[in-house]
Amino acid sequence: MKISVNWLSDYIDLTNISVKELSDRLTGAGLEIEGRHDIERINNIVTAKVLTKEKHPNADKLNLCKVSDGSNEYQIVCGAPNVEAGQIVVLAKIGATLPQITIKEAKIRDVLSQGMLCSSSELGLDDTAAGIIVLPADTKIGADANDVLGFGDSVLELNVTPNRPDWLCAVGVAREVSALFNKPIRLPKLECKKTKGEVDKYIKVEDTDKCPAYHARVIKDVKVGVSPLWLQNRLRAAGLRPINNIVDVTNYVLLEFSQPMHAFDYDKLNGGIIVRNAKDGEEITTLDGKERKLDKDMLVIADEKKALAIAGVMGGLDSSVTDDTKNILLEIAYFSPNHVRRTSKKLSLASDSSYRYERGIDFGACVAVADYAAALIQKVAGGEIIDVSLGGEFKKLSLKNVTSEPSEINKLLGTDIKAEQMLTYLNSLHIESRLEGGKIISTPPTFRVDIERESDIAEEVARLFGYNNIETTIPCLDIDPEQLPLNYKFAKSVRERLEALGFNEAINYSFLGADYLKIFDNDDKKYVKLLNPISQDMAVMRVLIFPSLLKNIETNWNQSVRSIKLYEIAAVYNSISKEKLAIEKEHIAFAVMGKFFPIHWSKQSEVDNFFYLKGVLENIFQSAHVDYRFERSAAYDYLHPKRAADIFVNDKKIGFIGELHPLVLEKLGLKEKVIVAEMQTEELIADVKLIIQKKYKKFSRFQSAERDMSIVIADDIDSYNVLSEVIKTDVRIIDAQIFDNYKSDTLGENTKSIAYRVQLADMNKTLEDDEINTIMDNVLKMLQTKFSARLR
Amino acid sequence: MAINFDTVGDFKSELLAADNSTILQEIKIKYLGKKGTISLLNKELGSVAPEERKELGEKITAIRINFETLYEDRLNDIKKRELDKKLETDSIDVTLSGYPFFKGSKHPISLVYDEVVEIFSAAGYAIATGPEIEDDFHNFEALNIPKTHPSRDMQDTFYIHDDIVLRTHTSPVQIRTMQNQKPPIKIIAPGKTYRADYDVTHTPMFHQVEGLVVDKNITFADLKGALRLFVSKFFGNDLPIRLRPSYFPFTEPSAEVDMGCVHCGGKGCRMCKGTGFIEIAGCGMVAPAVFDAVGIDSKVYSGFAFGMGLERMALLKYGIEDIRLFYENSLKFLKQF
Repeated sequence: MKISVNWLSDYIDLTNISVKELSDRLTGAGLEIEGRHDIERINNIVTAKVLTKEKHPNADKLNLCKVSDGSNEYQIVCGAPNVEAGQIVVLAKIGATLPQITIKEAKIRDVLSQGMLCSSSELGLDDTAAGIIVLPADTKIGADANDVLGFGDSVLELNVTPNRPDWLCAVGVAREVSALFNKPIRLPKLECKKTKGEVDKYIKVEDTDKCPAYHARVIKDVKVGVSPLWLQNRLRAAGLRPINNIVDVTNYVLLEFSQPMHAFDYDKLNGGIIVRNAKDGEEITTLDGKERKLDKDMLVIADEKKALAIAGVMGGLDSSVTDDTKNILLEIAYFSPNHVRRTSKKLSLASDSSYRYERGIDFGACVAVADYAAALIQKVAGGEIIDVSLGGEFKKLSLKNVTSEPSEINKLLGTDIKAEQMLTYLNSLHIESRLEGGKIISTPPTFRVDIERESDIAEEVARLFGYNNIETTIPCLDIDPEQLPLNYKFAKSVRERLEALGFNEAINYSFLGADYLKIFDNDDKKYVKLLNPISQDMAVMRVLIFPSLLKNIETNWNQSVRSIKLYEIAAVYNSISKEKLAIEKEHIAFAVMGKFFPIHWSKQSEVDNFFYLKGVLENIFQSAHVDYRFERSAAYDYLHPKRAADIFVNDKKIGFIGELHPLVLEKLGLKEKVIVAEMQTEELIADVKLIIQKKYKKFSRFQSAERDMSIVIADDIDSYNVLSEVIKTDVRIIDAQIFDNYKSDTLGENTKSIAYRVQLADMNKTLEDDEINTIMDNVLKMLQTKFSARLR
Repeated sequence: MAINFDTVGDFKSELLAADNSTILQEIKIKYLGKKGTISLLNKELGSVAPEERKELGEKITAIRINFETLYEDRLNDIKKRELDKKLETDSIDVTLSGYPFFKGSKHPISLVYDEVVEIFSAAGYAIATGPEIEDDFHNFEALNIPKTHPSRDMQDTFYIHDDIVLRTHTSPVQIRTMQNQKPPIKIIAPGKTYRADYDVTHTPMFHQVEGLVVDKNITFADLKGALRLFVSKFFGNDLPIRLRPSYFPFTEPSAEVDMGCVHCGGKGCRMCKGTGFIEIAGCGMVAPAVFDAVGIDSKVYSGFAFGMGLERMALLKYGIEDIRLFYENSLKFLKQF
């Protein structure tokens, strides 16, 4: 909300208070000033009268005017289409510095011009370019135009929290200023002179829960026209466009008292005002020109024929005030906040009125504001306020008294504020409070709908005492410190490990596009879909992490990064049903592209990415002390069928590693092969617990022996199976590693050679050669039997 | 018969003239080998009269020792020179880069996350977590944000279903913790949060850390103490903290927490929009309505809660200007951490 400092100073004496101080104090009190816009004064602008208007001799679209400021006459060339003799206008004299230009004496098409007649956009008021400003005929000429236009003001932009609807108006802000600076407040007053007259309309409220109060004022014989300048200036400073004097008054009073009101054209009303629920499917064209379809929960203001307005939300077009309106019926009502909110949400239609009704207006002020608004209309548009009581309060509205204990307030705040001091604070905020038997009884004013319980009172006390005057202490709890959660510990240690291993951690949004995800997992029944995504690319919660990393690869490739090693630890989400929470499981995913090591003088850069990434995974598994294995798999459509493996940890399949399928690469526009891996972390974390129970194994302190063996086996036998069988052959084989693996035509078709080194040791002695030979013979026999291997 | 010592030769000059170990070895053979001139002297000793033998023997020994001493010196000399020469040719360019065990990196949000966890963990806070896909009750209703209240509009919510949302804050973890645990409670809840907002200062996913302390006699002053602890450990001791009254439906009194600008130290700069202060957290005393929702007696217990954005912490800590950089995952950015 915007409010000008000049407006505030109508109610409070702000001399000697700088705008900065005002802003800081309000912000400090919880009414945050988000921004400030200064309307600067402009030198050398005066009000002046156009004496004559003639056509410019050398230009069709220009006029030559004689203008007087009372003491001097000026010759002005004016291009505005609306300039006429007799108008009072704003004259920028030679030397005036307007926002865009500085006025100099100039010849325009050979004719001397001694200044400029200003439009509102030239003065920086707004963007409309509808010609020069024409001031009311009674404006004094020769006056400083800054005063007439309300320049030299500052507009404050307020961030009003939902609990303080009373701050949504000038008077409410003034009340806060009054309490903060301890200055008296002068509330606006206008005498409402009523005249006897005929009123042939009635008010009937059918749903008094939704509309507990409806007051109407009838003003007859008004003259709809342009508002006086002071009123226009106020509205402009608040960011509203002046429309006509009647509408402007309703907007002005809204901004002044936060009381929404609506002016109906009295003569367009059929019979009277009926506040009723809409019929299902009933239609109304609202002031914004849009047709709205209503339902039976929505309250409308209707006459005997049709709905005229959606209660508290927006008026209808048909009954609105026009230039021809003679008589008006002014609505000042209180609608239930819940109802207005429901209707506004359902229609996706919000207005300054609905915004205030939803939050709660000052129901206690309705009658006074009704008279004030009627008087203001009379002041700016003439007419007679008819002395007939229409409508009224149908349900008693009130706020409950709040009882609070000063000791409890101090206990909550950690302060030692005296009860009397609390009373002073509260009363300065118009929360009438008194001490009774050691307790504070507070009667909140009708504009403080947020004051409901003791904690609300505590907050007001704390606010005025000053949050920053409360001391700082350390809470002392009798509570045992807890271990960090296992999954956090695991993730942290993995991140440290991967940082050391040269991987960069990515964090991506948890959502992706459905079409994109389908490339990798087309089981869309388990997708968790957002009803209101930012875009279709961000519409489905991830069921896999690595697809995001592939997008990161593309980003980096486009930034000329050629060695990419990324990983991410994050949750994936699987839907059970729409109405239930999804299953969230943590995954770790990797994506590797390009040279594992960037270019290096040692020529060490050629590394097979599959095996490098596999090595990294093995490193993680070893540090987690889990049993693991990789098994060839062709089950992943998006992976190379011959370069992919399932990952098993503790005999449970937890994920996969593989090279991206060439067709997927092509589809994604990725330029080099990519190795990806993804797995659940659950099984790895579960084992962190086991480490504690893990007992050490005895080891041989004697010399160990090494033997190499080279065999030829069928091509499709995976080396892991061979090795695990080798190790199982004899307890004295403590390790076996492959050091060579190749295929060649000389070996025979569909065969390969693997060479491995076996490490042998005995717990009790150094092994003799013949013992070793026996073991190795057994190994070979086993290989011959199980794998049809032959020695090479 | 006398021994002719002249046959020995001038080994001293020869040894001094030798400039490599091969020549030196040849000289050694010439003098001390089987047929070496010094060795031959010993053979002649047999034909010398016994009474002269001792004296001549000693003289031969002296010659041998003299040779050996000179030889050793010379040998050491040459070895040293040869080693020097070898070391010279061994020269490497020590400025070439080492083997490429290049360090990777942790995401800046993870770094801040770890730091926050470390600070609070050391202060005795337990770490609590909850689902990112939440129900309306935990994310809103229990936090005193009813559907009918405009406070719902304070957050742009991603909906999955009428009553299922992506959590808009980490505050539902407060509720889950209080439902499952009796006071005393002292937790932080870090994690991902979501709001339908996307521009230079907002990403639809971001990270928050929530703090909650509930016990008998917990005060607003205690809340200030907890914030003081965090700011001093995370940003440094000298920054002032300022609390401004604000509104959150789930706390009362509520406050926004400002701290002295990390960039200008309070003088006023672009980062703090000239105010000298930067908003870092929201906080307050747990609202009685929240206690009601989880069945904790607000007459007996009180508590405070605070929440802050990890992105904001990281922006301030590393001087990053565009929040979207965190989720672009450009290696040119990530490798800086």
